[in-house]
Amino acid sequence: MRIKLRLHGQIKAAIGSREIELEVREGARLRDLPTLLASRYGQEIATLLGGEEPFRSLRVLINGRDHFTLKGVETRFAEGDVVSLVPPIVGG
Amino acid sequence: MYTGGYTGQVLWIDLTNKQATIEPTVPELARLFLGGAGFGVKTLYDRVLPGTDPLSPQNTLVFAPGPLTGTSSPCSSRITVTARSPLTGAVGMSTSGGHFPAELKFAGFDAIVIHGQATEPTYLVIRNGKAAFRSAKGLWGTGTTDCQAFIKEDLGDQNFRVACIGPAGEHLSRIACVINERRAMGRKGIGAVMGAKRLKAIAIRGEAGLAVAHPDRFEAARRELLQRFKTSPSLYPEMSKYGTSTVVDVACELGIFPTKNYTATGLFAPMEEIGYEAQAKDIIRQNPCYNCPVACSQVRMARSGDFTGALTEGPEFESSWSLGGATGVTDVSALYWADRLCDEYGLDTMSTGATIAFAMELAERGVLSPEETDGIELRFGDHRSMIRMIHRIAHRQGFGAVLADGTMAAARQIGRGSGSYALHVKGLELPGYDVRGAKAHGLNYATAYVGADHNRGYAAQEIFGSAIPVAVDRFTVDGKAELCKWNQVMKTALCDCPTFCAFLLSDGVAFLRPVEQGLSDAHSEGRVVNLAELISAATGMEYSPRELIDVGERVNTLGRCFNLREGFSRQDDYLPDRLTEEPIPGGLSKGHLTSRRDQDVLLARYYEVYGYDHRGVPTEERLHHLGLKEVAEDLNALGVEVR
Repeated sequence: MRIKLRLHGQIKAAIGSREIELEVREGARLRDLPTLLASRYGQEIATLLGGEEPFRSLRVLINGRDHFTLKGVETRFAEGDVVSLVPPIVGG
Repeated sequence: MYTGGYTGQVLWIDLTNKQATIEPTVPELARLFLGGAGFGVKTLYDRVLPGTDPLSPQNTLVFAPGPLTGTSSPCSSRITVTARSPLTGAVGMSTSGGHFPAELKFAGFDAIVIHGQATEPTYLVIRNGKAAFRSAKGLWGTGTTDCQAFIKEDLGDQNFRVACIGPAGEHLSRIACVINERRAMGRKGIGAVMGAKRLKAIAIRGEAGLAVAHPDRFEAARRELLQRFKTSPSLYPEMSKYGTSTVVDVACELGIFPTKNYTATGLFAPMEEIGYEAQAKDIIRQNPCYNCPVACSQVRMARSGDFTGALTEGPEFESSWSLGGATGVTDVSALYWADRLCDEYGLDTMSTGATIAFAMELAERGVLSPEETDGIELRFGDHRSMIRMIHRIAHRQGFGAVLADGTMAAARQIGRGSGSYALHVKGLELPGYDVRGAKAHGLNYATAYVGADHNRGYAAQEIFGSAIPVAVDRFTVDGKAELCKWNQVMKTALCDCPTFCAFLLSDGVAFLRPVEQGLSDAHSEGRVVNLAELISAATGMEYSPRELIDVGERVNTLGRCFNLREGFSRQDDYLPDRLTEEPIPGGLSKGHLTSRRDQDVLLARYYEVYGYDHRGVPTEERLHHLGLKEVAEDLNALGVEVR
């Protein structure tokens, strides 16, 4: 199945695109994303996603909802999901 | 009496009689209200009688920094200005930073309280504990940059710090602001209050230092705070580099960047056109507030576009929204120029952009004809018509006179059902977050004592995904009343009164001690231990964490009571119908709205957690608990029964 990734900040710069589509296997979870991206774009991406502690300093939205309000890194993807990777930002 | 933090003096200005009087800072005021917004709201409540015309000599202007302002505490050169708002009729309280706030403390004052009306344009000169009145006849009509430069020239001292109004305030625009340097005490029409008093400017020069009561304790608490700044993944890595422009991207991504007067949220999300990357290339320098290591304020200059060379400090996120997203304008050079024009004219960028966007929608719907708008064809995305309308608003020329008092007044004047498209709470135009997709943030718009002001209870949990004090789903209403109260009380207690920059609270990592997630009193008190210590060490007045938090609740509740006294009621605590009836049309918040039923549920719980009855009136028990017993008597005497 396919999911859509929306990228910001350093990750966008590293991948070179605002939006990419990714083929993932049935049952894939958020925790699988660093490996998936690293296999396609290189290990640097996994490092940008937090390395040993994935998503620790990164905001992850799945269809606009913060992943920790779902099942965190155990959240399973569904066909057509939109996953946003946003740097930690404050202000307003 | 005061051993630190406070100067111990308040400057009272009677413009009618050109009298300046110095009074001691009342210890009970300091103890219960701390400073900043606390001083402002309490003074307003005590001095401004119910029904006072905001533009009359009887309205009172209170400029108040806090006890941390002027100390070595970082990010504390903040000031509040409070008056009865001519835009809303409610409490009008705005905040600003820069160097002006600290300078007031160095000049020897904890606050300036101004009443009366000068017979001719006047400016006030405050220098080292003394005040003098000077004619501003030759300054009347000047823009804010020139006004500040001329005053420094006239006084022969470039080290004066000046706050002033521009032509908009002189013309009594109810969306006029006060500008210090290039910063704005922006919202609620405070510039018109100064204009009505014929007070063009306040120039301050101070050369005294400011002591803290317990230097060793203060230094330890300050160091802990600065260490925490370094742990934040956003404060130095993002905020220092890009300022608030990155919030455009966040709001667009969440699908809550309200565009085209809230008609196209998510459908039209101009992140690429006016987001942080589009603006980053134009940054030419930083301009930090006094003693701020972050320096989020950026100066930008347009390198291309219709207004190449336009230079502005900012635009901050809200200005990028109001003059960009709300109006549909995507030429960043026009955005910079509009921002600069508003600053020069002394117009609130937020209300100005929102009011023009309102008129654009009316024009597109055929409610307004080009003949009515001075031949200007108002259309979303047309930056030239926006710029032309800003000039007209500032000088009350033609159709600009209709828009110069904000959306609520304009809708009343235009009629023809236009009120349905005027998006405000209590008369204050909605900010740049479409709260149909952020329920605690929306409840704050609805209930804040100044009207729809995002900064009185910013829900960083929903906008930035902060897990402090708890992680939430932004779309649900569960627990949002409790969270809204937490955000409002903490904001007032920790930022608006001591005073601290609001951005620190939205970055809880940098500001608050890490404790387990939770909204209980114990959790909250644990988070503010270091800040209570910092304030106690500065002032020598020992504040427990609980007492500090109570300051916030006291000020918020007194602000509400001021409004109740002016006739506001539960009906004024609702969002506009568009947010209640029309779902967000596109993006990642598509389909969401805040129904009337949701609002009823939220309000009922909100009143309950604040200790208010179902009408939104504080109970007698709650007022007594907060040390506001006399307020119950006032309200009862006015027929607002306190139960």
